[in-house]
Amino acid sequence: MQSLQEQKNALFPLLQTAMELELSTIPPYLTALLSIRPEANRVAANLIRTVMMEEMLHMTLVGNLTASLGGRVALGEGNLPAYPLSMEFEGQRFRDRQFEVDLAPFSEAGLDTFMQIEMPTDWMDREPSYKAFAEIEVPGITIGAFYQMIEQQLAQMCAQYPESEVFCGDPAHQIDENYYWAGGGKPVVITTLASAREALQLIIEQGEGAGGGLMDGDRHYFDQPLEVAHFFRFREIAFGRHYRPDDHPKEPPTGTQFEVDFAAVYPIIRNPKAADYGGDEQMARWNHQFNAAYSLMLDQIAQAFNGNPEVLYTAIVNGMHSLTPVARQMMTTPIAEDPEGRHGGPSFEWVPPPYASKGAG
Amino acid sequence: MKVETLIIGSGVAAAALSQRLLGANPDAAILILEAGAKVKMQDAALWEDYLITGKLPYDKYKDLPYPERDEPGQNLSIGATEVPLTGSRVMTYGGSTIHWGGWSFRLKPEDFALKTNTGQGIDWPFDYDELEPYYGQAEAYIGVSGDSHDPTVPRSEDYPFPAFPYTLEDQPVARSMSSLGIQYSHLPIARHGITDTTSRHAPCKTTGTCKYCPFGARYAATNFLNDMFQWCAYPNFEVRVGCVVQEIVLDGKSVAKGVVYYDKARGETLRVEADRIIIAAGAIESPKLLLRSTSDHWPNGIGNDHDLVGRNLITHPYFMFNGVQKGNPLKLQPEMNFPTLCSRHFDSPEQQQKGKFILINPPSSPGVNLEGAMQAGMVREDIDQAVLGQNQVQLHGMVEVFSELPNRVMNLDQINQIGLKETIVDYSKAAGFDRRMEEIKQHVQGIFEGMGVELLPKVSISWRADHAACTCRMSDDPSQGVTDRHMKVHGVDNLYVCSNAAFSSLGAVNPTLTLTALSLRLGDHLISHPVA
Amino acid sequence: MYQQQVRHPLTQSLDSLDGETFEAMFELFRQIGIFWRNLDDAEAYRSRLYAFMQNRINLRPIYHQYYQLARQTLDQLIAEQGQEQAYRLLFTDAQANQPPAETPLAVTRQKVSNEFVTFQLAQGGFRVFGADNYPGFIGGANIPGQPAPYRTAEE
Repeated sequence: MQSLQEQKNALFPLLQTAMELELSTIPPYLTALLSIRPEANRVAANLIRTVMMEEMLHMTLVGNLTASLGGRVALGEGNLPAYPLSMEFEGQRFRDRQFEVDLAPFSEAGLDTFMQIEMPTDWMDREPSYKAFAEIEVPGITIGAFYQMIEQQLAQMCAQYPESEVFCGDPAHQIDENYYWAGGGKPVVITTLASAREALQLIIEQGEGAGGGLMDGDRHYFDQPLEVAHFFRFREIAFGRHYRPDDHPKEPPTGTQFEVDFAAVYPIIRNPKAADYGGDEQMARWNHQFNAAYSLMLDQIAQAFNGNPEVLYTAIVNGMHSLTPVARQMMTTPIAEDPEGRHGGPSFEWVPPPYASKGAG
Repeated sequence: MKVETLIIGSGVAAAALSQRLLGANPDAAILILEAGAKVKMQDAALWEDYLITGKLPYDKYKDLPYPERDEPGQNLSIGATEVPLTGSRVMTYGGSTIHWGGWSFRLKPEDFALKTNTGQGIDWPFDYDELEPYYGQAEAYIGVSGDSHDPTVPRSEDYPFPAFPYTLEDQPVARSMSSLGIQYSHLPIARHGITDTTSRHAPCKTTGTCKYCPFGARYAATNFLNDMFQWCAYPNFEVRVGCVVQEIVLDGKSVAKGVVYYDKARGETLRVEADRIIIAAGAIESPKLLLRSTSDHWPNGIGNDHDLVGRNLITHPYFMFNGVQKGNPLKLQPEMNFPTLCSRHFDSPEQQQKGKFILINPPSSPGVNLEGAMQAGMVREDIDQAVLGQNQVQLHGMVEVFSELPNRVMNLDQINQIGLKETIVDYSKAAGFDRRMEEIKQHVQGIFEGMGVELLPKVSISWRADHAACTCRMSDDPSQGVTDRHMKVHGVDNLYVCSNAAFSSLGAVNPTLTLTALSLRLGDHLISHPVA
Repeated sequence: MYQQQVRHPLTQSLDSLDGETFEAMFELFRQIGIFWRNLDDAEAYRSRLYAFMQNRINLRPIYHQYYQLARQTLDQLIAEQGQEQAYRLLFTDAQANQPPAETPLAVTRQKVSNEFVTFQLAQGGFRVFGADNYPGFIGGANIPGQPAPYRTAEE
């Protein structure tokens, strides 16, 4: 039989993958959101914003789970998503990642990709292989099934060892509801199998919907008129129409209509790299500035997950609040002498902060 | 161009009113003209700069002090009592809620019958019950944390967020007040809390830097307007900053047609027409705009046939009593930078005749200053001794004063940094005021004695115009007030003053919540009375 | 999310803070906690100090020079007097605290050290003096059913 630590050590890479998976959705959502001209598509922009906010919550929940088990999170060079992105797990692509995710302007095709990212398990061609949960090498796993697998491994550990030994991390090192607002759901401080399940279910249900339905599963927290799961929020944009509570999940929405104008976007460069701005000194400077702030923020988020939660406030106030103005500046500005007349966009690449971080390990 | 609703000024009145109108009809055509500029909110560098230097990014949009012999200054004070404008308001997008403290009191029922009860001033043209539902909506809109069980004022619904608990600094004051039979309560404050509803507005993190909140948790119209423009689909809602309204233009005597304004960025004088015009420019600028809108029909300014526009000016004298406490064994010190305990014990029908007042336990008391001590080079042992030893203690408050006709504001023929005409303030305090302050001092002395604090003789009283009001006051009788019960200017069918200027009287409490309630009520009135 | 940036135009062309200057300034920050015995774990504040300094530079590019000058001044002072005495002089010298700051030591005291004191207190240095919260410290929300993020009165 594997020792508890051996089992945990086998689980930590999965949690690191989960962290990177959640992080990887945020740059494409933010890029699409900010590419929309501010006078248009407000409903769509707000829907994308709420999904993006909840992806941040999912990162937090994965971070808390890692901390609760006594593990550490790494967010730095080598752990950052690069675009175009295809997520791999154990050398296999996720079954719901059989496509590339781009940093790209808001578009119909981009929306299709977003729906692919958030697609519920029961919309897939075939059901996931639940038999395989006990093993790690699962080819073609979906994100929902991936989290269910993590949940099952936790349950196995708790069947063998006291929960206090499984969840041995200091709860004071986790991110609580003080640090998250303006999106659905709340951070769960994980100290038991039950709280771990609550956190994992929240991730699955906010993304895919609860039990094959429209709703996003955090309705016990929120008295919202109608907050549908991420997949269905993107479907609303695709149809230019809100869902009504009694709509069938597999049918198009029938609620209030709203305008979606795919033309009202800045023509930003797809999947930019710093090297693309070699001929535009100003754009290169903005991109560097963005990447430096992005890297600093990620380093601080890692510190927060690794036992110094207060740093998250700096990551929020200093990092998150300062990234969007630079990104907007880039997106509203044409790249100098670009033959296609494209505008800039941040490349989300690592720029090491010039201090020796002791926390991001 | 022509819009449906033109709002002059972009403070809390404009924000709440447009929110209400757009809630009913997201396609409503609303234009806000704001003379000031935008200030970047929730910026870490600006926040830290405030922390380090005390400088705020909007300081440059405040009035300068009155002229001194060696300083040109701004505005003129010509009365016997100086009412400073400096620091009382911010001329910017979002208005003065960018810097306010967030204290969100309701008036009390007796405040609406001032004349009937005391013979002073005038009554409001409606009673408390008329405004009560709007108070509840206003508390929900600006996000007030308060004690729903506080019996001070009747309420039909709970505060949206629970009250902040009393600080340890409140304890000595609370105990002393209790022993004297003086009631105290939680100070209701417009800081978002945590509830089970999602909001794009962050909950208060008790940073104590409310003048520039890094999270935008204290209500600021700036943040709410930004939010409306950023995330709501209001295709015909627009704000133009840097646009100084020069005058209201009429069609005949009784129909407002539009305004003439100067667009600073374009360097042009422009006109815009509107079905209805709402002046929401505060108690100083709103009457000044009416006064300078003269024509053959209104030779003394619009709505001024009874010479009331700009008159009846009042504000709240804000008093600060100082005392000395011998020792500070609990190491009480400023933890919050916003108050949690107030007493409306003397804000009562019994005190109305003499001038009601409230008391506030300020967060700056005891005045321990760790930063100053360390920066001055005091060593640790000395700072510890200073914290435990003798310290200065304060008790603050404000008292109601009554409108008098000679007290007023007027236009001064000089232009300030915003492009607005400067202001002549003519104010003289009433003869009985100093006697009233002596009575208040006796009460404070009693409270201090119960705390073991020795009252220092000097009382600071600030007449600063933060709560300036009543300069276009409401009355159903045009010979008593500039505006009617819906804040519509008497004699003009489609011109409103949505501002503290329209208050009939001021009571003893901060006016912002009442103004917010009046704005939402005006919104409902406009929705039910669509323009022809 | 749609607001403009706040940056001084000159900071566009400045190099960002170099690692060596930052390390010297971090040492100054650490010494504040040692001198006043009010912050043990300076390491936990490393990235926050960096963000703070970067923000000061973004707002006022002259801070770039202030930090470089402070490094040189401290290097020299430490070489002359030893570390402990050098920091004691910096933190307590009355002359250096007199505005306007016209000497390298006065600039180091007023534009760097004193600002770091304010920042350090707000980050948590205040706690040893008895309180649970402090202006500028992000204490957390008022959450029903949980302790308030500051010392409360008994009721």
